[in-house]
Amino acid sequence: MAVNSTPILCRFQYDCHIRLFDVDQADDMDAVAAKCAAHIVGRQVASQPDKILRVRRTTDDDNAPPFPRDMTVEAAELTRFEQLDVYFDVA
Amino acid sequence: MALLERSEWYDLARTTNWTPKYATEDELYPADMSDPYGISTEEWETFDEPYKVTFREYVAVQREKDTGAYSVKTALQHSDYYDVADPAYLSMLKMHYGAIALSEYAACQPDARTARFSKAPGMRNMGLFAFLDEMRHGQIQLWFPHALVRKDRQFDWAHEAQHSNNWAVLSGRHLMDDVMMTRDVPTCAIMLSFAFETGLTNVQLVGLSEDAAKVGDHTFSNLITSIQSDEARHAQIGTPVIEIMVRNGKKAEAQQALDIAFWRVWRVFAILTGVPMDYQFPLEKRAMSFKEYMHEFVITQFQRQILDVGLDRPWYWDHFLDDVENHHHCQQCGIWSWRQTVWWNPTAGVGPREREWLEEKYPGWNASFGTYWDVVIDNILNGRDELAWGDSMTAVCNMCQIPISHRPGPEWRARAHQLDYEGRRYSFCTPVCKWIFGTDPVRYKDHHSIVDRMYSGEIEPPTFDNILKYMGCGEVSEGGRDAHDYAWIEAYRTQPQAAE
Amino acid sequence: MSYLPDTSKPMEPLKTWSHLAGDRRRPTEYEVVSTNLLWSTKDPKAPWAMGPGTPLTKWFVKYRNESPLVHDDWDAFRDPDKLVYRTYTMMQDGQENYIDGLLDEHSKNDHDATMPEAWPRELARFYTPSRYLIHAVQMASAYLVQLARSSTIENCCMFQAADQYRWVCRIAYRTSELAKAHPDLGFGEKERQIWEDDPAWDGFRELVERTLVTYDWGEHFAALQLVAKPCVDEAAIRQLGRAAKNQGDTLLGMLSDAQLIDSERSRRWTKALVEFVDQNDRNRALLKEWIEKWTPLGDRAIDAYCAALPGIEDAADQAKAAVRRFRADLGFRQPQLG
Repeated sequence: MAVNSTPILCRFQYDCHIRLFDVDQADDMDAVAAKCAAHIVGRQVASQPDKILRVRRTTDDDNAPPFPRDMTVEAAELTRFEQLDVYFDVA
Repeated sequence: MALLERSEWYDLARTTNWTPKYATEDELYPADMSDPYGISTEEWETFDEPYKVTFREYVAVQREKDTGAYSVKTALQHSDYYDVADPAYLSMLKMHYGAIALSEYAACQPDARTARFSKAPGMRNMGLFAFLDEMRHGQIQLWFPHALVRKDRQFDWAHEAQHSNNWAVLSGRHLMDDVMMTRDVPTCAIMLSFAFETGLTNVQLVGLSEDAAKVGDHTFSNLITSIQSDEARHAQIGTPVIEIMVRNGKKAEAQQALDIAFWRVWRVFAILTGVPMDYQFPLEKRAMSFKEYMHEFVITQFQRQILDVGLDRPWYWDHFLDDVENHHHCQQCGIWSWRQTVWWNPTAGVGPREREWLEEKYPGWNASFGTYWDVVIDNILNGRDELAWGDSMTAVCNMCQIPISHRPGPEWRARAHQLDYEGRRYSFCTPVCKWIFGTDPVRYKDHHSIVDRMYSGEIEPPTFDNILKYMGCGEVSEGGRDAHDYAWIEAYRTQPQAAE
Repeated sequence: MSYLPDTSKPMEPLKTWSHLAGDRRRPTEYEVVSTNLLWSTKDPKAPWAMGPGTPLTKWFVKYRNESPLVHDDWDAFRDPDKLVYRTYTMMQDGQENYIDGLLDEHSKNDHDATMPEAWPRELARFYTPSRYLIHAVQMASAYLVQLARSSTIENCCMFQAADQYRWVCRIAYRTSELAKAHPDLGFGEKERQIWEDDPAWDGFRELVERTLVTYDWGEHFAALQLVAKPCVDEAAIRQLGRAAKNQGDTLLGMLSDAQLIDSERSRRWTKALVEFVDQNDRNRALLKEWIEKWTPLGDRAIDAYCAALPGIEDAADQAKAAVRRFRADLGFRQPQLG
């Protein structure tokens, strides 16, 4: 594992499983979402080409605000095995 | 005069406690082994095993059972059956033997702990029969698959699985190590004999046996029935132990042991039993759905047994009822998608007719699990095989070691339940697995799941290739592929609407 | 792609389990179903998935994995009798048929009512209390099972424990029969008291109690298999059987002979295991040390029991000599008797 990468848990909308991905500190949230989607969308979750993906912290009440799309992993202070919701949103 | 009846002398054979003189009672029966609950020896001596058997009866009955179930001839018939059997059925056999053979043998050691350290002499004798039984089950379930390794190398896992680091094995071993290998005698009696053997083995053995008979594999069906007859006898160790604990003010402790073990066993057995019943057995040969078996044998019968011994049903019962309709379907999704990580060839079991049956047995299946399979089916129909495989890791539960999953689709229920403990982050599949961790963190905190091992240096570098190799896939045998090489997809070409 | 299985070079089919594939001959049923079955023996520090602070984990690490008796491949051990469950039950069912026949025959001949007058009293003292002793050996054997270092060793210990229960049952059976024929002698009532208080039993009691609480696997093996069990077998079975034959108690004589068949099998695997671990001086010295430590207790047990045994003067000497012959056969010579 690269020194500047962090494993996160991905809770991808409509998916059956919680996934594990390494993200880089410099990745912004669009990049994080894209890394997750590459292994999920079109494989186990249907693609929604007209929508974009947003990322937020997983919380008990499912009401965390999404991270700004250009915010980096480093700026969001994501820690090892932190769980993120990745979900479809209107473009 | 003739031979005496058993009842004329049986009690003497279990009146064998004495007061030690050259060692203390605590040395002879250390609390960590014999009884951490501090119940008096006199109370333990009231243990009365419901099934009574003497050595003489035991060897006669068991010899006869083995003559029926276990011979060179039947093993060979089993191997002939291999040539005509449905590949999905063979996958069930591979999964079963790999998961079960050495686990049954492992139970000999906790049974021997009972035979040595129980303060109840009758229970010591029952522990002895139990370990003999488990030796039988280990040996017989090695002998049969051994006849099949010549035909199919995946049967080598019957012996090798438990020596491997396959994710499914790590899950089973964590369970076994928790509920039977590292528990004191009374706790083990509740966890192994009551929760495991009385509670859930029943469903597995009765259900699998019925379905195997319908498929025409009478050898396996008889084998399983024969094993069940042993389990039914030695599973009885648990009930009197719980009654003694409840009577001596240890209901809460007994309840906790039941709650931990029942959930832990359930999580693994749902995969071993639910997946075969609802996906691997051919549709027309299924006796009942897994859910129907669960309702008859567990939700009704076992719940009654729990109440009869003076305990309550586990606190998470509602959660359990939901899991009965969810967990094994999720794992079927995962096992099939990541079939390269297992030692059998999973069947999808989701042709149009199968999906109709699933929807009937599990209303709402199409709206949730169906969405997952729709994408898979679309890929296969359109020749995109490379997309029909899982290509990255899932998170796994730090308790049950099973991929963290829940109903897919609009409900979007999958969620890791996390906990930070002594600077480490643990993830759990459900609130119940998380609760179990909290009952005894010292016991659980040091274990590394397969995911943790990717980041601890044990799997280095943690590439998917290396993970497969670490799990024994491509090493012991090839990993899995679709059991029918996608032949089932043809039904969708003639009935395309069913895929929608 | 790396996540897809590599199907370019199909793996060769197997003729037997991969772990046995290196052997030149075809494996026997015994090898197929008995070898390399334990998963807890790989990592000496972590036998189980449960943490190092778990009491049972500590127990296995300390008493099994860190036992001074070592071997670099415990799984290589083989039972000389090559018994599997199926053959064990077959064999013992046959043996038990024989015992049923003996009991039935003697019962029909009014055996218990026609014994010499003083003998039943001796049976109440020397025979029926032995169910406690044999049960203690059953418990000690079960301990060897629980901490066994390989499945092939574990199986031998399981059969041995089962053999002990076999005889606990038969002693209980005879106790009940004798109680019917001689209701005034305390059969079925006084055994525990005799076992706990009679000086004839005190040596055996000390021997088995101390064996039972010796938790190091290696020393437990040595104490039980090389001292305690041979002493029990030679005195409380063989010499008792001899005394019985002298009194015309053919039934107990024949029962004792039958019981010794099981003991002989136990000695065969014990001998095989001693030879198996005899791969370095350290093990040999350890076993010798343990034998020397335990032999006085064994001798004292034999002396106390045999001295009181009626009708045979040389019982103790014969028993001790037989135990020493067994150990000499394993290559351990002991100081001469007396």
